[in-house]
Amino acid sequence: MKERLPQETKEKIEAYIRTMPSLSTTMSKVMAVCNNPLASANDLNRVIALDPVLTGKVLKLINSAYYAHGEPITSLTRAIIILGLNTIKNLALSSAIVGAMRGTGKSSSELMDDFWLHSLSTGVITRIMAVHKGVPSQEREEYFVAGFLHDLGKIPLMSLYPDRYRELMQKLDTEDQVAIHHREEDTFGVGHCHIGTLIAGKWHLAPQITNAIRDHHLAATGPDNTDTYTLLVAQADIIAHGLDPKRASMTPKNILDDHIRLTGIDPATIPALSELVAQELEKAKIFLELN
Amino acid sequence: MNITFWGVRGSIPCPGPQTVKYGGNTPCLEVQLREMQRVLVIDAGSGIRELGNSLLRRDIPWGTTGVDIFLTHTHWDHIQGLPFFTPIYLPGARINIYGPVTSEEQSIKETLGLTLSYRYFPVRQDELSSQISYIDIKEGSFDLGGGLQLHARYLNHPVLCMGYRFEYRGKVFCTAYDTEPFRNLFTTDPTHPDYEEYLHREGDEAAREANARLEDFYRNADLLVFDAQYTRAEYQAGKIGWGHTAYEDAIDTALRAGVKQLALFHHDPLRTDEELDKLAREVDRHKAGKEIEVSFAREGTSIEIRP
Repeated sequence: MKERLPQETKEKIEAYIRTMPSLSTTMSKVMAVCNNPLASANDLNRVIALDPVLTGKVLKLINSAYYAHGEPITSLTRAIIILGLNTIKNLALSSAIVGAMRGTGKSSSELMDDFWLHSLSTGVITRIMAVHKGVPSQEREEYFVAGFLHDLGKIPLMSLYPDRYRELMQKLDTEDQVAIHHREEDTFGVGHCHIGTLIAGKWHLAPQITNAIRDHHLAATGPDNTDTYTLLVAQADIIAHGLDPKRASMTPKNILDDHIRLTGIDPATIPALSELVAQELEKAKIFLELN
Repeated sequence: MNITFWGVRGSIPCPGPQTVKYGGNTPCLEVQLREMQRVLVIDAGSGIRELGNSLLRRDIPWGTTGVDIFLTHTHWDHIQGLPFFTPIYLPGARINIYGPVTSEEQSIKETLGLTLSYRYFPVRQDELSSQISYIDIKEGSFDLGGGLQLHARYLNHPVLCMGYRFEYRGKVFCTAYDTEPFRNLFTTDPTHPDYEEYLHREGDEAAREANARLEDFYRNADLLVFDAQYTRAEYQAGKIGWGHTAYEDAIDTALRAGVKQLALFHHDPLRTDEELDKLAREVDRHKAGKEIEVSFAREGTSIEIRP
């Protein structure tokens, strides 16, 4: 981590990452599914695929040093088949229990709900853009995962410093929107891209997912060889903010234009994009019983 | 390599008049490498008690090489004999215990230590007099010295469970228990309300690849000891997902992997000698003249793999 990061903050963040709980938003559904002996693999897949921490932790286990797969596994579906239902349930339940024991304040819980909506929107949009770009069907889930996990590094900041994070969010102006990591660095001494990269390293996430986590705020101004994952996630991130009623007015047009130039995808040409995203979010909320 | 079966039964010891022939002790195998004066033990089910007594009667270099124990996993039937393996109380005896960590990254030492505490047993882990080293084992290949190679792969069981492949002087001995074939866990019925086409497709592919990966692991083994707790009819009538294989599937897998000799293992505790004899006759029908030697493992018997 950066040198200007206070030692105490660094230690707190690192300790948090070691036992990172699942999100408060998904916690009760995770517990319900994992405690139900009749829960199906489809149910389990669905609830895990709606929690970026659980998704990351399952990939962490399957790609841990204990397994000798050649390439890192990026598909949750594959991980569930190989690890089996018991192991997955165990992992999900223990992550949810850590969250339940720590408890979640109102402030942190609201931040986390917004975070969850944005992560899911970005994952869904990344997948839609991958389809639009003609990515083979077996790789589309990886694009979803890259988008879904891109802001993973915000979780420790939001959980450990909910009031300061909320204050930071309230002060954001249009320019800050695309450079929120700079404001985080000003406030905490470290930004979410850096923390996310740290988590990705500890969780053995695949390079393309790690790149998207690290570089999604740099894609528009980054080197020409930025990979497709990062470019699509970066654009999906901007589009997701544009679709969010709380943030839409803060999405600068010129940034979106830069992304359109880089990916060659104008979201305006994707039929019913916002409706598709809204449908996915609604389905997820119904499944998690959030309404 | 000489392999002796000290326990062949799955789940729970089941001594009695109906298990005299095949044996009632839970899993324990001994691999003797005479040229190297080495003894390897696979699993510490109740069969390890008699093995321990046998080892104490032999000339084992306890203070130097000692004995290596490889645990496939830590379900009760694979560790319950360990406190009764007398060499663990032999001062100065070197014993290396290898085994997989749990998915929560709990070490093999910690997991075994839970069972060697006063509430379960009168001797604590720290009080064992021998010189025990605990070694967490992960997937991969390991040089065990003297030309002995070990390859380890996770099988398919409700807990992380290791298959072992030993290679020595061009010969291969492999274990594959407890395990069942990988399968697509997601619904494949398009009329089911939860059906998703990509889960169906990806799940099928993942299961096929995982099974092929294990078949490669068993490839051309001179002896493969394989889980065969059920018949196919039993497996399909309610045992899917329990982590064990039907003997017919064990034979088919061994045939595809080019295995020379197959020992069917981890017999169901309800299986009587009479039933196993009957299944042995079925085995001949199932393999239909193909070139593989198949038998149901019997406690107290040995198989020699000659270089």
